[in-house]
Amino acid sequence: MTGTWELNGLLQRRLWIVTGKGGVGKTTVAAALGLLAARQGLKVLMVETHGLTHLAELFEAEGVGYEPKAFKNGLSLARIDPEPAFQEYVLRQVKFEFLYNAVFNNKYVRHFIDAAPGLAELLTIGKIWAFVEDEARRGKKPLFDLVIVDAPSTGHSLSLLTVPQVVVDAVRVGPLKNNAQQILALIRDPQRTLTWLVTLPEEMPVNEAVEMDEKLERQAKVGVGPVLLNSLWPEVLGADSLQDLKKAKVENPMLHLYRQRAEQSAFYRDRLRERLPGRQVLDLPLVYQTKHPVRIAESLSESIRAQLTGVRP
Amino acid sequence: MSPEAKKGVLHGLLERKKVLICCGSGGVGKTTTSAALALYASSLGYKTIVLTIDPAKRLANSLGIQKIDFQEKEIPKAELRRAGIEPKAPLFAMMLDTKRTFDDLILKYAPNEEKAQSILQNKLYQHLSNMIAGSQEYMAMEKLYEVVQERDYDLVVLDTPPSRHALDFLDAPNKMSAMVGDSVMKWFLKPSLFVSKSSLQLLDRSVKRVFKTFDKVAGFEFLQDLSQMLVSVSGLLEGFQDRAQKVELLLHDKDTGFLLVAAPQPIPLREAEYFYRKIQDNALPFAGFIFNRVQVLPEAGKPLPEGLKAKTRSEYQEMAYLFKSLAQRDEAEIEAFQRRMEFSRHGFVFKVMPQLERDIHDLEGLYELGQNLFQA
Repeated sequence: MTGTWELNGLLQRRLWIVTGKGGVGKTTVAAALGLLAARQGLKVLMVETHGLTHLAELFEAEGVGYEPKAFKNGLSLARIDPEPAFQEYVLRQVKFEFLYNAVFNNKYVRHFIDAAPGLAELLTIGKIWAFVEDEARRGKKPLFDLVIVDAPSTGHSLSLLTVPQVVVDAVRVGPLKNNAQQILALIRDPQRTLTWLVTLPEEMPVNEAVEMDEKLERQAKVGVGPVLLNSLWPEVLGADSLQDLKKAKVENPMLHLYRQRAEQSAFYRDRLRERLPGRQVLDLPLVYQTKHPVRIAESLSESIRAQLTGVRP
Repeated sequence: MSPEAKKGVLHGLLERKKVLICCGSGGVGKTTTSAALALYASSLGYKTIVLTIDPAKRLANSLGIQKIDFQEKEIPKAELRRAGIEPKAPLFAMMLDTKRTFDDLILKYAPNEEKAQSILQNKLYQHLSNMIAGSQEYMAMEKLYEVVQERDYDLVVLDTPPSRHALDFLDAPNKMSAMVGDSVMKWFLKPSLFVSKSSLQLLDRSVKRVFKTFDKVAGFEFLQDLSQMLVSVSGLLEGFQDRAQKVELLLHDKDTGFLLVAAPQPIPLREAEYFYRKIQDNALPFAGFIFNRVQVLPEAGKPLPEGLKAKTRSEYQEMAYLFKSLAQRDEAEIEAFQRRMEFSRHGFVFKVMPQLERDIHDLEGLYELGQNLFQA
C-alpha cells in the first residue's frame, strides 16, 4: 500500500501495531496514536507485551494487568503476559479448569513456556487476535473499535508477526493450526491490520527502518501504514534568520551545534524518503516545550492529526 | 596536572577487571561504547577483544575492516596507525551470532554426528531456535565463556544483545538449567512415549492427562515433532547445564564488571534502574553507569550585536531556550535517577557523555570517544 493516507481510512482498521528500533520513542508515539484515535471518538485498547509497563507508566495508570482496564476518555490499557495467556488458551480448549490445574501448576507453565520455542510469541499474538475478534465471533459488538499494540523492538516484533506462519507450516491438523490460520487472516488483511514504523533522523535507525519495512512486507506480509519520523530537530531558526546571523558574523558553539543538528536531521529526513519511496513519512519534531510525558504524547498526537487531515492546528 | 592525576575510574577498572559486560536497553549507544572502550584499552597496552552484534556493519566500518567475522579478527595495526593511534597491544573484534553459536554447541555436545544432524535438521529447530526465550542472551554468555577460558586476552568487552527485558540476560543460564530439572520436561523427554499414540496407554493416569490435554490443544502430530526435537536436545542438556553453571561463576567473578549504559530518557533509565537492582539482587559485580546522548548546554558566546532583525532575535532566543530546556531535562533526569537509586558514585564509574555532534564512522571518532570515556 503506498500513497497518501487519510485519517478516516486509518481509523477504520481494527489493529495497529507500532514498531521500531529500541530507543526511537516507540512507546510515546504509540501513546500519541492512542490519544489521537480516542479523540476521534473511538474506543481504543492499548496493549503492551512481554510484561513491560512503559505505557502504563507514561500514562501514570495504576493497576494495569492482563484484563483491559478503562483509563480515560475512551482509552483502555492492558498488558499481555505469556503465562495467563497460556492458561486462558488451554482452558478454551479443554474447558475444565480442574483439569488445567491438575495438569499444570505455575512453575511448570513457566518452564514450559520458556522451553517451547516461539510459544510466548504465539500466545501474545493469539491474545492480540482475541482482543480484536472475540466478541465478533460470538455475534456481539466488539468491546474496542481499535486495538493498538506497543510492540517490542524490531527483531522481536518480527518474531511476533511470523510465528503463526511457522505453526501453520509445522502443524498438520488440530486446533493450534486453525488458530494460527485465523491469526494470519487478521494480521495479513491490510483492511484490518496496519503496522506503523517509528524511526529517528539518524544513520542506524533509518537503515533499520528501511530493512524492517521490507521484512514487514515480504516476510510478515502485513500492511504498512505511514512511517513516523520522531524527534526531528526543531527548525526554530528560519533560513532568513540564519542568513541575518551570518551577515552579522555571529558565531558561537551553540549556533554551530544548532546548524549541525539541523543539517543532520534534514539529511536523514530526505534519506528516509529516498529509501522508502511511496511510503508516506510523517515528521514529528522534537517536543522541547514540556518534559511531561503525557503532554509530549499529546503534542505528537496533534502533529500526526494535522498531517493526516491537512488541517493545521 | 600529571598524567597520573588525570586518570579516571575507568583506568582503575582496567587494572582490576578482565571482563567488562556492557548492558542496557536498545538505542543507547551500547555497541559504540563497547568498541570505544576496547579500542582505548588496547591503546593503553591491554590485549583486548570486543564481542559484539553489529547487524548494520557500521561498527566494522568504523573499525576500518570490511566486516566483523564470527571468528576473532585483529584490527590491522596499519589502520590504527593511519588513524594516529599507536597500538601498544593488539585489538580484536568478533561478532556474535545466536543461530551459529547454538549450532556449534549442538555439534559439540551431541553424542554423535547422527544425533547432531537430527537436531539441526528438525524443522521446528530450524524455524524457532532464535525464538527460544533468552537464547540470544545465553549464547552471548556462552561465547564470552569460551573466549575467556580459551584465549589469553587481558580484557574482554561484551556488548550484550538488546533484551526485550533486562531480565532475560541475567536469567539465561538459570533458565537453561531449570529446563533440565523440570519434571514436565522430563515427561516430554522420554523417547518411548511418542512412538505411537497407543503408547499413551502405558502411562500412569496423571501423565496421560497431561498428554491428552496437549493433544487436544496442539494436535498429536505437532506434539510428536516437538517431542522429537526436545528428545534430541535432551542429550545435550546436561552439557548445557554444566556449562551454564560455569558461565554463572564467571559472571560472579571479581575480575568481571557490569557496566550499565543508558540514555537520559525515562524508559532507558527505568530499564537501567531495573537492571541495577537485578545486579544487586544477584550479587553480581557492578562497575558503574555510562550515560550517553546527554545534551550539555553549549556556550552561547557574546550577546547578539545590534542591527539584527527582530525576527532573528526572537528566533535566536527560541534556539537558546531549546538547548536550555533539553539540557535541563537531561540533567534533571540523571539527578532524579541517582536520587531514586540512592546511588553513591564512590568507587564506581558514573560518566555523563555529551551527545555526539556526528555519527561515529571511523577509528578517529571511536578513539576520541574512548578518550572522553577515560577522562577523569
